[in-house]
Amino acid sequence: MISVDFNNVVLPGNDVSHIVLKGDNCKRSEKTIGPGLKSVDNKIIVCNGGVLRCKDDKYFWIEYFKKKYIPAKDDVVVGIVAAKTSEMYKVDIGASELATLPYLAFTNATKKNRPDIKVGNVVAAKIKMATPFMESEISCVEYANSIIFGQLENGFLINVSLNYALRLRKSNSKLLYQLGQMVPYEIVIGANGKIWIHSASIRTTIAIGNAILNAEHLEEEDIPQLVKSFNKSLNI
Amino acid sequence: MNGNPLSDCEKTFILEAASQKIRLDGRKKDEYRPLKIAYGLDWGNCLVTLGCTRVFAQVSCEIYQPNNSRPNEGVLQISAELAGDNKINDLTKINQVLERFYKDSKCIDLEALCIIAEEKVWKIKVDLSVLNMDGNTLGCCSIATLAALMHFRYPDVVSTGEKVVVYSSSERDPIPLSLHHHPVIASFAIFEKYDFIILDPSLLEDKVCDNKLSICFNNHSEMCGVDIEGCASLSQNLLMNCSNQAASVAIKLVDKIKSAIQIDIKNRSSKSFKGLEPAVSEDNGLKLCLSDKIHFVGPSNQENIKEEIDEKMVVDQDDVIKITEGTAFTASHNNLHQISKKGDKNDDLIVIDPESSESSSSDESIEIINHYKLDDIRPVIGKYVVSDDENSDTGTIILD
Repeated sequence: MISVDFNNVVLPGNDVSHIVLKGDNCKRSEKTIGPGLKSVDNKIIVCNGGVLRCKDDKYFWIEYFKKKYIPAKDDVVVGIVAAKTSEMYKVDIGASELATLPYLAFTNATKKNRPDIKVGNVVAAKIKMATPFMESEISCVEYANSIIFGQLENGFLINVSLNYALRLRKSNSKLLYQLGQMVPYEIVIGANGKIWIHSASIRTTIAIGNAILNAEHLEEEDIPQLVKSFNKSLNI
Repeated sequence: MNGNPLSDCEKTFILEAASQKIRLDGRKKDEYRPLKIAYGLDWGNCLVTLGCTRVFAQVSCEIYQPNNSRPNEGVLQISAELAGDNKINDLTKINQVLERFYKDSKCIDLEALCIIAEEKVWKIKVDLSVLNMDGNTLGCCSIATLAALMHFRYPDVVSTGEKVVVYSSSERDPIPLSLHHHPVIASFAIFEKYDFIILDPSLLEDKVCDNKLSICFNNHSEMCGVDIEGCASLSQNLLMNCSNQAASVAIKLVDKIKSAIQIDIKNRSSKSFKGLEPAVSEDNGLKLCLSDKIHFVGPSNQENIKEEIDEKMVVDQDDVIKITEGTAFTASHNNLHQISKKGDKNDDLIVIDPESSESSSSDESIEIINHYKLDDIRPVIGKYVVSDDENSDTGTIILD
């Protein structure tokens, strides 16, 4: 059998049960497999070609190139309001169906105090309900210590692949931190691959967007080089 | 569902960028994206890549009964379709425009395609499949059409009395189509409010702009057709500028296609000819899209523009236009001259702008005339000033 380890490239059909299930048998029930892995006949089989990742020896998933978003509960997404009905907005989040956003799903919203959002506006929201057979439901209600949801004004939207968006969302993403040291900016990264950027001027926004797009296929070591050239272009 | 809906964010952002005359990918306003033309194994089979827009063209021919109205002419048919998803009805428009420009300009010698009058003619079919839409689809389609038509060869046919013999390529060399001239379309997106006209718009620019102007020119700088989409009112002066640019773009595009064909014919003689395979594997689809947008736009983007200058086409406007078919233009042009002469005498509202910096056309045959708007009239006519000098008796009004 080919020996596969974490952070290795795996191909569809590979059997990774010996890595995922290693350790005590009784702990098996605590292990969770995510996208790209499938349990068949007590074996864990890879079903998408990509890189095998794990977290806390407990969660396992495959990171693979993907552009079509499939809603999952508690994801933060950025969407564009596509239509308005009497009770809810329909929001395009890049999934196969438009997601619904009820008027009441905003902080401090009541029946009389409706949010003022028009078709074409951009919102950041959290997925409340995601089922394979129904439209997913999103909500903009903010709780204590949650990030700020709701309408995003000005700024610019870019689209990236889903795995890259997830990589950027990790707290240890060097790129965003280093860009932030050069120029202040606001950013919302949706799990659906839509990224909203806002900064003081148009030029800086474009430059940040391009830097993020270019960094997708770069190694971690090359990022300082990219940031350097980015800074150069800003300072001239 | 119409692709991705356009958000307010993107719209206002692009308009704001247009007001500052910036393009998102760091191009100049008259700069084309890198153009690649790759030919396949068959005659008349090519893949054209313009930035991220990709169009695949295939020309085919069949023997066909001619129309009754034109019994001794062959038939040309152009059809474009979106690969995969046909719900976006954008392409019917492209079909119409392409057919109109290529049929009406009579670039193909259709009479040469006749085998037996009233019975058998060649029907030339151009099938375009748009593989990726990233703006300027019409321009890319027209390049693909022309590149495929110039490359195409049809089998030799001999008719002996009642018998028609079609020779296969092994028996006799197939014959290239006879083209009188090579028309190609250049597309502009016009942001009227900001007086910002850009060549080769990207998808977002295409969606946001007020007006889309497509001008078809051939390699002899003769106009073959104009298509205007949108509601902005265009001045003659602007149209002349655009057609100037389009003419020089067309010459460069046709040159590029010709050199691509020469390279292809050279490759064909060598045995290791692989057709489209290297072009497709090299591009590798979506990854290329991202790496193409490598330009940063900082306060000055000169530093970061990659040295792809020989690949990209910067339009120079030293060429003089001959307008053969659109006589309306020349007529109006004369009118403008007359107006301008009048204007000089009377210090009227119409003045020849000596700078004409934006238009940057250095033609001597065409002068740029700027119509002053209402706000600008005052300095020309003069100011009314109430003088309080003691010399003048009372507060008289002096024409400054």
